[in-house]
Amino acid sequence: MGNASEIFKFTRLSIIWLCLIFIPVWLVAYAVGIFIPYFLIKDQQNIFFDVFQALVPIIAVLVFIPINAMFMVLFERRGLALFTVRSGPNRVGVDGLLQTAADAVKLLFKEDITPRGADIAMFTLAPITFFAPSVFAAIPLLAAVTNDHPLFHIVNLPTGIFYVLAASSVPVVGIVMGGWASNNKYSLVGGLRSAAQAISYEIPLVLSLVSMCMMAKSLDVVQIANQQAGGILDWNIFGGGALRGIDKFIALNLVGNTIDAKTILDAAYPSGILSYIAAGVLIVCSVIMFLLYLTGACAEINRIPFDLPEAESELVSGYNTEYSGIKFAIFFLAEFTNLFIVSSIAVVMFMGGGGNPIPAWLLDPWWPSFASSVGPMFDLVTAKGLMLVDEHTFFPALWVIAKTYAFVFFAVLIRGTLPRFRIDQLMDFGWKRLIPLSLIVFLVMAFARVLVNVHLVMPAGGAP
Amino acid sequence: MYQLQLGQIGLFVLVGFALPALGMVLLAWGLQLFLGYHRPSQTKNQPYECGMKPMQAAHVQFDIRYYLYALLFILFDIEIVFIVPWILATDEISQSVGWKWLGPVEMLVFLVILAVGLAYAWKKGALKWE
Repeated sequence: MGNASEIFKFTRLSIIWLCLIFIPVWLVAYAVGIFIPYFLIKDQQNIFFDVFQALVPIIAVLVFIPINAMFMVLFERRGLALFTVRSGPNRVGVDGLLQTAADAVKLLFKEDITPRGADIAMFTLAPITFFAPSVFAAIPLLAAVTNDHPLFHIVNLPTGIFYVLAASSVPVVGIVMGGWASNNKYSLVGGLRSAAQAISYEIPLVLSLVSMCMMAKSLDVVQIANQQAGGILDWNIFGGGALRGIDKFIALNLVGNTIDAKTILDAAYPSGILSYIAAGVLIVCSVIMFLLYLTGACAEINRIPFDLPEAESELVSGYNTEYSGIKFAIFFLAEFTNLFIVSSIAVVMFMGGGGNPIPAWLLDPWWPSFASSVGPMFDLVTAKGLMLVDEHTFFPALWVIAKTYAFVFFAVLIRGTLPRFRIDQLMDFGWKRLIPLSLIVFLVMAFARVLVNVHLVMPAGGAP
Repeated sequence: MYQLQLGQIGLFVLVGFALPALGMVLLAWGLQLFLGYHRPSQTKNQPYECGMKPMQAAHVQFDIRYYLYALLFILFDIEIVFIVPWILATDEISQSVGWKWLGPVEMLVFLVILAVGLAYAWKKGALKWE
């Protein structure tokens, strides 16, 4: 990559967007969740008081998804342009920020063609079947993203990750429907290929997430995200808490409390040297599981190198060959939303959710009482008294978005780098390599976990 | 703030998220019906096939070669449904007996049975793409 100014523009665009994306979502959440109930209705016994507050997650998601997908399309196009040393779309709006909006308006004015002989009902329902699950799947994630904010508490399901997995495997049905209903051979082959790769890569994907649930002993995404709070050593990608004892050992040593530090090491690694070996094994296994998740997720949402359902060079455009106008736009929107959701699952399950990567024992001396120094600032400029914006929600949300975009960037990088699989290679790789590997790694983790105390609680009074 | 029961949450999720998502899609679609133009013609509505007339109907009986994979997939998917309760209960099971390896050993037995099945299918050639 030789073009420094393009890299600078790309970074600037991303940072501008990170700041901008919160504003509409906040405004809407504030209007529906705070302004209308507290200032217009006032009466807390009124049924509409609760109804408006319960509407906040719905409105927030429905505002967030189109705006976010709009940026992701631009992000992908600019990213690919970066990797192929060209400029990418940079004319509409500042640095091309409004390019996708312009494209969406253009698609609205296009003719909506239904091919002759198509199954009209299925042809119309397919984009909806493809899009709706991506909205569903966002539900429990919302609670994790906002760090269990009271307004979003309603969507925190106790079996969150199970629900997310169930919802995120439905879009394949939409693809098969669209492929079959189009009355086009390319679409049919594309739809059926999509089903083939969904059944091959679902198992490694689910097993990798389930192994992380095993380490956390919970299916609740908020709980899993909160367990990883406290820096990069607590993240699930590094052994699902296998390093938690060492993290706390360092923290106590820095305070000067060497007696508690020794007990905490004994509590975390009860079987001596065997436990340390087990912790090392857990770290290796978690990284393997993380890579399995990335592979499975790429296949699940039909990204390159697994984009066989819409392989342009063989199947024209695969399952959406016959789609035009707004139906095509919905397919496109859902595709990018799925990418975002898959990335945010990776963030919540492996990358510490809303936690910052700097370990607490490093951050605290560097910026003492971080939260309490920022809190009063928030009191001044926002509605903290009304519990809409506070530092317990703001920073986690910012971190989740930033980390998620790191994954999206990774997906774009892969798209710019790797060629496409052949279908028999794809099936062989899934069934003969990934599934046995994921089963073995899962079993090894189940055994190694017994030797390490991954749910370590600090001794009373000794916590920094 | 909200102490809703699980069923209510499920209902909320369905009514609250399914309907708005559907509404959003229908709104966009309605907008296009209003804004876009509609002049269908014989040639335009013909399914695309590299510029020539379609050779045969696309709604044909298609030989899905991966049905054996699909059968195996059902097996493995059900396996995962069984694993999920196990991950939540494994420590309690081990503690109730007093042997800390009981949970993992159970899973070992369960997965070995599955792996033998997979190995058998592999050996019989079910995992061969023709």
